[in-house]
Amino acid sequence: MSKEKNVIKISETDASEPRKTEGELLRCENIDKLFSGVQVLFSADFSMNYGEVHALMGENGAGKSTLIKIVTGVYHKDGGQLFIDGEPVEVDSPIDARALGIAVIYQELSLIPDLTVMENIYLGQELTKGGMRQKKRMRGRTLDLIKKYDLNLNPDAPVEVLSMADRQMVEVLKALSQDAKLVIMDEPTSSLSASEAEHLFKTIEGLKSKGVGIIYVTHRLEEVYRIADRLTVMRNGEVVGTLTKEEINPKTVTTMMIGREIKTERQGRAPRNEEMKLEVSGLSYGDLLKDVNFTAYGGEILGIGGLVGSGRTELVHCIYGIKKPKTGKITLNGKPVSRSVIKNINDGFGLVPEDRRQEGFNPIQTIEKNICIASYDVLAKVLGLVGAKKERIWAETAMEDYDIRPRDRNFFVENMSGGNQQKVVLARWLARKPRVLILDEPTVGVDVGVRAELYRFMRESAAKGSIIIMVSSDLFELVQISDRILVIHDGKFFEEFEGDKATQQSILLASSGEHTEEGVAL
Amino acid sequence: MKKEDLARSFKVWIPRIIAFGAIFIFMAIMEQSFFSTSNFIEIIRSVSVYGVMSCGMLFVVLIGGLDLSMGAMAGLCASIMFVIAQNGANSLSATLLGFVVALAVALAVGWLHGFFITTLKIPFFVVTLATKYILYGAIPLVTAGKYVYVRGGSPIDKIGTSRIFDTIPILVVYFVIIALVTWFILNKTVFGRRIYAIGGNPTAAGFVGIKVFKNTNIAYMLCTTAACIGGVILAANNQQAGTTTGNAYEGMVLMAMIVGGINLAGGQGTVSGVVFGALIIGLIQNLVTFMSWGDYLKLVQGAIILIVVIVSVVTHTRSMRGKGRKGRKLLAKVKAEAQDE
Amino acid sequence: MRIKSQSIRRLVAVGLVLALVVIFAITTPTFFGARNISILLKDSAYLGLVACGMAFPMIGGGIDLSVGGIVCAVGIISVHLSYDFGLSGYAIIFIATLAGAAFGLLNGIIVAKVGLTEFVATLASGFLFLGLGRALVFKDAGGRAVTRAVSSESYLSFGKNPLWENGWYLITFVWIVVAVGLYIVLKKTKFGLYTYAIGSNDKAAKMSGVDTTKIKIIGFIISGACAGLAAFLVTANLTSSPAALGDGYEFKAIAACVVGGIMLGGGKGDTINALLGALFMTIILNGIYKFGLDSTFVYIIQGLIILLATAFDSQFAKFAAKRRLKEQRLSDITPASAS
Repeated sequence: MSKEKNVIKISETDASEPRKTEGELLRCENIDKLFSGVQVLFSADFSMNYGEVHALMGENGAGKSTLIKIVTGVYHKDGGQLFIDGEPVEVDSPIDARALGIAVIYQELSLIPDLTVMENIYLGQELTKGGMRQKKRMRGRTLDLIKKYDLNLNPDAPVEVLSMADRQMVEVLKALSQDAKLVIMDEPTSSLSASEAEHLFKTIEGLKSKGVGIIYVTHRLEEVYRIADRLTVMRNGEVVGTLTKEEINPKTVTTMMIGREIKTERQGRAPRNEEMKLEVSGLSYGDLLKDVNFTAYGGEILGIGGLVGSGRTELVHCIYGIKKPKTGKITLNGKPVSRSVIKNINDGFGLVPEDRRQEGFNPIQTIEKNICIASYDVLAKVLGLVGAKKERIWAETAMEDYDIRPRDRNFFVENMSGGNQQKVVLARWLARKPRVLILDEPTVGVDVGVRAELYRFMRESAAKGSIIIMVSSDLFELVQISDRILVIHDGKFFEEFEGDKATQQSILLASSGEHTEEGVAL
Repeated sequence: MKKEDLARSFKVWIPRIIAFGAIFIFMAIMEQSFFSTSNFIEIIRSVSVYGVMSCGMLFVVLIGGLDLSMGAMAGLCASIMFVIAQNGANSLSATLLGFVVALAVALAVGWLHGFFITTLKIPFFVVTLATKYILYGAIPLVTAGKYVYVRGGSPIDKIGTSRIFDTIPILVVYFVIIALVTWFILNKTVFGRRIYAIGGNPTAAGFVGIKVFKNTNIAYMLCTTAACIGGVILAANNQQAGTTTGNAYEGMVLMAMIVGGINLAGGQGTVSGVVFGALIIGLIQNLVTFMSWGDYLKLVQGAIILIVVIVSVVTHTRSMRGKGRKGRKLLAKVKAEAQDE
Repeated sequence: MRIKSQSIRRLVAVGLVLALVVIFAITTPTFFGARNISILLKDSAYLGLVACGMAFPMIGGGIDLSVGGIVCAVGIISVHLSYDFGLSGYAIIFIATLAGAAFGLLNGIIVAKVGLTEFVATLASGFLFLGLGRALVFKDAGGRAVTRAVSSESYLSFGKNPLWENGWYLITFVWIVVAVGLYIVLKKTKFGLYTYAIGSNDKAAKMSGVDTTKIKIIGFIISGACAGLAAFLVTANLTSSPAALGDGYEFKAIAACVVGGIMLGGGKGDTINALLGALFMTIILNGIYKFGLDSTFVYIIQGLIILLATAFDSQFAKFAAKRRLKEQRLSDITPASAS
């Protein structure tokens, strides 16, 4: 491909110029991808037409984002061929992709809040004359675009005053202004309210009628019914199959996503300690959680499932005290749980947060200090004075018990592997023999060996009578580890599963608001 | 275990001693009168004042801030104390009252810093730059635009000019006490642990129940307290207080921080680093006075700060990417551990 | 029709200036005298120039604490060029601006390329520039600092005398031309837009293909160039370069920007805000002298202005965010009336 072709250009022609609106837009044939020798995509096939909304589903790690990144030029494929309009093309960089009319709408928006809609649309490719921006010309084109796609946007409004749905429309317009014919949306509704999402769907229908092709990556089944013409499901780096609109139904889709379920023998359910119980009733938070009620018991691992963005993290933050719920009552053994984090910690609470790097540990401090930081109620009983020896013994015991490596208490956490960093955060709480331990996505970015150890530590802690609450998006983990699973949907707990009855498929269905045989409706 | 700790502190101190020795020898060559008792006393005096103030600044730098108003705070506190003492005919009780009032003002300003920085979320350098000028402007209001002098034999004079064994200035005693107290607070109390935790990662600190705002406020108050003490002993030693007392000392204190290896981004730094930094700054100050290089002091300040910070930033990013000697060593260690598992 | 928060903020700044004018017009009858006005505008010009330059790093989300040092160093260099080398004022004004720009370039490289935080980098480089200025001060045989008067006609034509009897000074016009020029740069050019973009959301700007490193460096260059130009004009007005030249300029310039409505944190404001802020600061400081208040009040009042203005802005930002949220909720319910 010649260099000149790589230059992105705002279409110089009138926005209402007729474009190709029918036929095949994109075809991927036998795409392979390896990461340092490990194959992550196995001969993936995918195709889509103009004016089609093609949904792409699959669990985390199924290969969706790898495929998308190959189409958008972020990754290089190791085999196979891409075709656009039936012509073979090479996409070596994001610039190539844009030149070919492929645009991505990112999850975290790439808009500048202080600039206007028009300025954002043209950011990076302003029309200039003699060094000055040609505002009138850009404004005119923006208005044409807005009219063409029948959107409700004011080109001169600063983006910061727009709602999230409107901002996404600006992103879409930005892509279209660069003559995009294929728009890829990655979980576009994860930050939208229900009415905003509806707003977005209308826009998508508008785009479709104008011949734009849309790849819609999502976890949400109900959105797929709502807007998709076709659905492709991926699992473990392979394309499992493509369904037409008529063929899409929850059972088929979830079966395709999960495949044959392997369920290893469980060691039997842990005995429940009824005397230790955490009760939550009528809890609501923002627009996210509406009416959450549940009881967690000592001795068992309670799994909390649901889609990303369904409010699971906010729920555990409310329990822990770091966020304030709008309404609701939280009690531990009948005693109301405080709204102060430090009081809760001293009372036996612990939280392993979702974002380990941001929320979990202090990277520029030693393992010892990171383990001890939550336990100074024990380590510094008199006048806030810390005993160095007490600290050392505390940290060394924890490092021994939970096999933290390197076994050097003065090693900086920032230099450790992800799994061991997580062990440090977990050991911080386990060393205290917590009464309530909450884990939010405990095994993200943790290798398989350490994963098994983390599960063992959780199980042991439960066996000693602690309440363990585990939030997870990893269905396999949720089904394997939990004694009981609660699935959140639409701001409430939707279904409850006994650990031995739950299957990955049923959890997935419940997360999408479909009742299942295995679960008990709440 | 003990042996390992010893090796660790050797690693830190050997380069420091070499650096100190190099400047020492350089000065001895440049100036014969360097090795005089009076010069050593001079060095000890300036080291002590810088040291006391640097100990206070350490708290603020550890939580990721900076107090640019330290010099002005020192001058104002000294002026307040002197004026009150003088109006009370330099009696002991008036002197004490003066100190208490000065300390109260310092604490109030420190709290205000914390309030503006945490609650109103205004960048610390803007807040402390503003208070620097306010405090500086307030000094002439307190002293009626004049210098306040103390006579020999008054309590203030004793605070500033007494000598141990008739030779060593008493200022060094204050420095040692303040450094020990700071060391104690940072290493032996829960508050110290919290300061390091906040500086390293404030969000994570919040997740383990540390009250970030409250502790930040306390750090700023400790800093102004040290500024107050530093200003008082400086003025008492000079036997005068006024607008020039402590003026622009924050620049020297900042330099001491950086030379002492305190991470300006927060979370890393030790009292021993501060002590070393103050020693070096004292020597440089002495060098500048000796060679009558006063005009170049700021030049040297700026150059040292820039060079040290640039070098530390560059080497840190290199080692994080597994480059350089330190980076390769770390990489090897982590890899070896991973294979063990 | 919805009024932009930024417009409200500018109205506040205009209101503050007008309020001051009214107060001083009532209390001092000579306030509207031609001479007083022309001196006021002249005095605003130095600060105004520095503040207009400072606006760029500030809108870009940073700060430049080295402008005081730049004014000091460039001021003394300018006098040297005239006194020692006999260069004409027209040549020196260019050299001074270029020298300031070079200092700014150094700041930009340290910040954008090396990755130091703005305030550490410019605080330290400020010491460096200030030290350079102090080191270059004229000395007599005994090594004591002395001042040397500039005598070059072309040099002094920039600042010593008004253009006509009791009239305006050339400095004032230079200031207005620069402020308007930079306003056009900010509002009409790609660079200006990108400055807002990096101040508002650095990451997103990078994703849209903006070369953030380059934009940051140019911002510091503009700030340095303006400070260099101001330094020349100050010495042209004083006819010499005092050793304390430039002391506290960074502080005054920040105060002017903040009062005028350029928010800390970036993305908001323009050079007109800086201009308003400089006028406000000058009028209030002149007033302090007029009322016969002690000159130490100057420092106190400047400090208080910064604290109050930033406190106001932080509360104002909260209010604006709340207002936005409310409007978004409304537009969410009734999408048809959104625009």
